[in-house]
Amino acid sequence: MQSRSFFKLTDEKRGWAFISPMIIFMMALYLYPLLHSSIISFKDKNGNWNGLLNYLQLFSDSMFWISLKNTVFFTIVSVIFHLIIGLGLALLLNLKLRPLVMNFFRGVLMVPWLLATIVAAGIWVLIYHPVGILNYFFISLHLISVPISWLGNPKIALLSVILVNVWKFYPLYMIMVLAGLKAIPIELYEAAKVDGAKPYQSFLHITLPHLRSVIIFMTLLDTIWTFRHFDLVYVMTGGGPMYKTELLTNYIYDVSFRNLQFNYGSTITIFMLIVSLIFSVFYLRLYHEGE
Amino acid sequence: MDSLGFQKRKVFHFVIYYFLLIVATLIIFMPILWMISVSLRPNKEVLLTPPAWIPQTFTIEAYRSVLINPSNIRSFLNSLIVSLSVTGLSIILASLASYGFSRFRFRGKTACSFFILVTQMIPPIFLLLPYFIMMSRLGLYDTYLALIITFTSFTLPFCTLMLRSYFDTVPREIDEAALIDGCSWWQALIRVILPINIPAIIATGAFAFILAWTELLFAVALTQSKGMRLFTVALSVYIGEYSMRWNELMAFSVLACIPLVIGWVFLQKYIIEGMTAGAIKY
Repeated sequence: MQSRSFFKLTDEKRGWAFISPMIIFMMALYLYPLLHSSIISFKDKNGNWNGLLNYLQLFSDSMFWISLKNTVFFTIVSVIFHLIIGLGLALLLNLKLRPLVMNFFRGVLMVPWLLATIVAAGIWVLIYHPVGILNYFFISLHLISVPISWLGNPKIALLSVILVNVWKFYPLYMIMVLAGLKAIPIELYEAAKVDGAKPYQSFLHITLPHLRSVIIFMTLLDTIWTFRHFDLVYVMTGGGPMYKTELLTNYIYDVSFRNLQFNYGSTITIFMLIVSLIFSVFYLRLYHEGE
Repeated sequence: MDSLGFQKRKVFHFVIYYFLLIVATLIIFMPILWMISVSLRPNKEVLLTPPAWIPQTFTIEAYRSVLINPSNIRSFLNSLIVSLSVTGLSIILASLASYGFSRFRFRGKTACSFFILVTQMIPPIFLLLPYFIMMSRLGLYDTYLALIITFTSFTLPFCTLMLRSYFDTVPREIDEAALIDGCSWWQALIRVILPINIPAIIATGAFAFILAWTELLFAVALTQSKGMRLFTVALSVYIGEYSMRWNELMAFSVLACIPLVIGWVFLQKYIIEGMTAGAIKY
């Protein structure tokens, strides 16, 4: 009783004392950009207010729409495959394996996530080379007769970049789903077995319902993360061929740092911020339900 | 007879299951094996038809060329300095904040933890131009400090969430016992809470290190001189070159992976535990 009142009396100041270094640091680094970008997105090149002109420019800017379309496609396809591969491998890893064997496979399957994106990009640029191993592999299986320019062909360049993204980032799903699987009480499966349930029935009625929240959670997070991806396109294609792989982030980089249109660049980042925050609202609601 | 059939089916499942797991692992790991294989051969053997998995001329020439170049060594050192500083700074700020969040009730607590969660959702590209301007005005453009500060602003939110979820599992009675023994709150954190959470600190630090070690975009935008290049920037310069020295590029990549892989082998368990604890509440 005594110690509880002791806690209460002193909580206010002490709590702030402990969190303030981090909060001040983060405020300084996030509020300034927020203010700065919001302000200059309403100004023209010479620093004069021009109202919503920059925002109206978005509607008539065909490159903006192209890169938005590419980004949406990139995000949806990547997230779907992250989920399928991550879920599949997590289920494989969760079957009766000795802990040591499980740790080994899990460790190896996580390696793509560990690599710097620039390293992954370098490896795949070599694999995608016109006389590289991927073309050789397909030719020797007689699936194609002439080498494919994986990163140069406008029809498949974006898919090639997506493949690298899938390879690099599926492990996050894998470990999150695996952790979710481990949290399911084994008694449930035993009870189901006693009641004569087939394996696929226990999967449908026990495993999937328990994974529901993990999957929704990860899909939201992954959508937010994939939507803002930058490195792969920057290194592998530079947005080409014919802007077929230009993502919003890469377009913003070009507008701001190549064309030096800081104001319009900020306008597009505000657009991206708003889209991300919309997804975040769902994420935060789930997070607080979990708490 | 029936039990024999059951046994057979079990063995059959077992074989199928291991087959799937091994094939999947091989396919996923193949690009990494190719990187290692290419790094161990002369450049003229890289694009042979048919390609050979085992180098015909086995040589560590590529590694020698990478390591003999002082600017490459410099870029590794830069990456190491920046990543270790980010790791240290993140651990210090995150453990203070997590302790505050986990142990005290105060006005504005919900707002602060909400702010931390939201910062994670902000696309980095949104921060790029403001950081560039901010660092230029502060005279920090093209310095370690600019990189350390910006990278820490990316690692800190997740580190705080991760550590907090660990601190929350430590009963308050432990702090109280330390206080009764005459410790201040500050000492309770340093002498009692941090030591029993060493695995969590390691996981948090490893997470911050990985993020900082692999960052590219801000390293490109906030540095200019060759002496300030991180290895990620040096690698992107390699890839952009007209005549590709693939074996050197792959050797460079292998070298860049070594710190992470060594850490991974020893810390896998902690890192995975920490990541799943920080991102998801069941």
